[in-house]
Amino acid sequence: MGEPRLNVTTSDHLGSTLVHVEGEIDLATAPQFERELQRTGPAGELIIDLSGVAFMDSTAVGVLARKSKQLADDDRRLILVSAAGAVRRVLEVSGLDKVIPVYADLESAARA
Amino acid sequence: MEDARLLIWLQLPREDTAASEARRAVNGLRHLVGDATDDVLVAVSEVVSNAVRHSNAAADDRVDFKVLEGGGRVRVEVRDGGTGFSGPSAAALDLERDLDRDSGRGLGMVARMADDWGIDTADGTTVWFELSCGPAVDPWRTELTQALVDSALEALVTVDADGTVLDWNDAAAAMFGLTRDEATGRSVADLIVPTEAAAGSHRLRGDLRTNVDIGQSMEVTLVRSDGSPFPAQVRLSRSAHSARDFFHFSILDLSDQKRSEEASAQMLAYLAYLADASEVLASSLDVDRTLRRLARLVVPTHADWCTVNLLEHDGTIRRVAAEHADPARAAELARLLDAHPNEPDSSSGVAQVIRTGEAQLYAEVTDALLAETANDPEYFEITRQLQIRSCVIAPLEARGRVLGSISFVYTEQDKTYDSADLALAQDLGRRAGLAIDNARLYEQRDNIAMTLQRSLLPPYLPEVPDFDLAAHYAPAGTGNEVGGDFYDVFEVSATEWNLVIGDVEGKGPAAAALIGLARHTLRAVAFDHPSPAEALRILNQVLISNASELCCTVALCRLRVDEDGASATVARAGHPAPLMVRRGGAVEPLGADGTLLGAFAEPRISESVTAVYPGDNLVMFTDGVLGMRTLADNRLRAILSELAGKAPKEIADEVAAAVHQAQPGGLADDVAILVVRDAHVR
Repeated sequence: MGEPRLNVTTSDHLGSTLVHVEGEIDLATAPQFERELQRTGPAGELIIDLSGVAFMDSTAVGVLARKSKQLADDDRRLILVSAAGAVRRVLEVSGLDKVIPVYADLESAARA
Repeated sequence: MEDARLLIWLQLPREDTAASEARRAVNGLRHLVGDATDDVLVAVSEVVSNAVRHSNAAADDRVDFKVLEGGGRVRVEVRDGGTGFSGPSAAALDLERDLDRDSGRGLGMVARMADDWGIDTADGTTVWFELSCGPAVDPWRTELTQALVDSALEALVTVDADGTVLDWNDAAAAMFGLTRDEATGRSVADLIVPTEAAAGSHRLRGDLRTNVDIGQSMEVTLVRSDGSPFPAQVRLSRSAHSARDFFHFSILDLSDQKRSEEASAQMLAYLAYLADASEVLASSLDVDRTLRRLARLVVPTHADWCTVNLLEHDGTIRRVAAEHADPARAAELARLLDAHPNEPDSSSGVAQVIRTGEAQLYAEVTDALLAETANDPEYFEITRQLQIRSCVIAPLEARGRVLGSISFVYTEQDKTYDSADLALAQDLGRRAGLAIDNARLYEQRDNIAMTLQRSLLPPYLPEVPDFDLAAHYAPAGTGNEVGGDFYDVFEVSATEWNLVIGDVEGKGPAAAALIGLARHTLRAVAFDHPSPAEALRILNQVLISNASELCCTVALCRLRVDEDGASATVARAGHPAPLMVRRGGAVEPLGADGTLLGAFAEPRISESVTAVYPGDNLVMFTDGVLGMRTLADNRLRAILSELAGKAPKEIADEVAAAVHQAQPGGLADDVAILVVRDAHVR
């Protein structure tokens, strides 16, 4: 278990902050995920691209829900990118997709 | 769940990584669980995470994680040693209300995905859930799998738990000589496992469900439908569908591989033997024979044809072997090779390898390559007829010198040599080179020994007027060393002749030197010292002052002929007594025992004179004739008595024959016999 299972990169995407996540988000890596999200820019829309995430569980849902709430307090918006699969299934089962917009790909997310 | 089958049972550490470990195990079940896998993954992750994070069990307690399958459902059980789990509240299960709250949400998700779930607190805390599942079915997948099975190089056989054949692919049909229809429905053990004891075959007998070799690759002997056994590599595996067990045999025929391995081993064993057996290769004739045998060992397993060439002293290249896998074509091969012998200065092929000592691999020999190396159109045509498709040439070398080369040639289109063949040829070349080198050294030594031996014995016996002479000499052993026996006959004056016979301790160069010294000393002193005893005493002085470590025994007889008749004066130094065989059959030993020479400064040596009459034979010999292992004294006397009056040649031959007959296993000691007969008519 020596190698990090999560890799988070932040970039600017058409005026929004884009966070690209690779790996698995679970009990072991969620704290790291939350820390990385806290470091993102102070203004504008935040797009979290989960297409590189092989798996995530309910702790990731908690992190995303808290981040969404925090942004909403600043009148900012959180958008998720996730195609079909285990991650999309978690977003559905947890009901998170009802409170945070989820798009299948980055292009449609950026247009929104 | 009835008839549930345990698919996974892990004991996970109570660490954050436990969920990831559990998911990895579940991922391996994708073929069984199918579309439900994502849900199972999510649910497993949640339940295991809960057990790690929220349980009040001891930190070193492990989380027991089981996945079972049966009746179209997958069941997961996660148990930890903790207590006091109250079950999720209704509020916790209302997921959307408090999305950012961690506690309870995981179980809520499980509840939504699972067909059934529950918490059992009878022994620690067990959270379980069940999900409907079915193997993933892709419409094209079944066909694709079947195509793969039918095209496999391995024989693939599927049986049920009783060992009854359900499926039997094309390779199995070819390997065992039974069609799919013939094999299906029969017991696999009856079809492929030999009835009598054979290597490893017991591992395939008995109940497959309890077979301990499942998953192992094993080498066993199997049997074809015609009853012939063959070596095979078998991997036995197990699968399950709809609560039924299936067993799969994946079988590789190792016959060709084993044959090739055996051929190589045989060849290497032969060469190892060659490297040691210098005695076997005692002449250049033996070397040629050995190299021909080597070439025969190379075909057909390693070459379609094989040649061996030797570099001669004059720089020419001589072919000593040309073996073809098809013996009927050997003559044609030899004719083609003869039609264009190897030119020593050629820049390619055999000549190049012999000149440079560098092995050559021509993996693919094309016409273009042949045209490049051929000196003329005629040669090009011959090489084309040789049908060389792939070729390896390695030097035969020993002690840094190239003695010749060995060539492997494939003529069939689909066979090519690679670096492993090159290494084999080089190894053969080194070993054969060593054997040749040994043989040549041996032959050289043999030549030296024979030359020396001849110089130590008179090349022919002199003419002694009115006497007949004969000698017999046979060295013990292989003739590679100078023997220790010697004899000599020489004229001292018109009426006097000296007869000498002796035996030097030991063999080899030191013995040869001593013989030379003894012979020439006796010749030199004979003129000034008519007394044989005196001559031997002088020889003793010479040997002692020569500081030779070796001793020798000598019998010296001076034969004198004058008007009164003939006489023999005999002196002996540690040597068996010469025997006078009178014409009438009496046998008399001559001379008194004396001290052997080269050991003592004051030897005790005397001499005695005996009259010699016409028809008498004087027989002198070494201890190779008379002794425990050869002829007893009375036996020798009886033989000689029988031969009284006969020609010396006949006597020498008869005695030698008796000595050889007494030692059927070969002579233990050298044998020298010298016979002289008084042929006067008086």
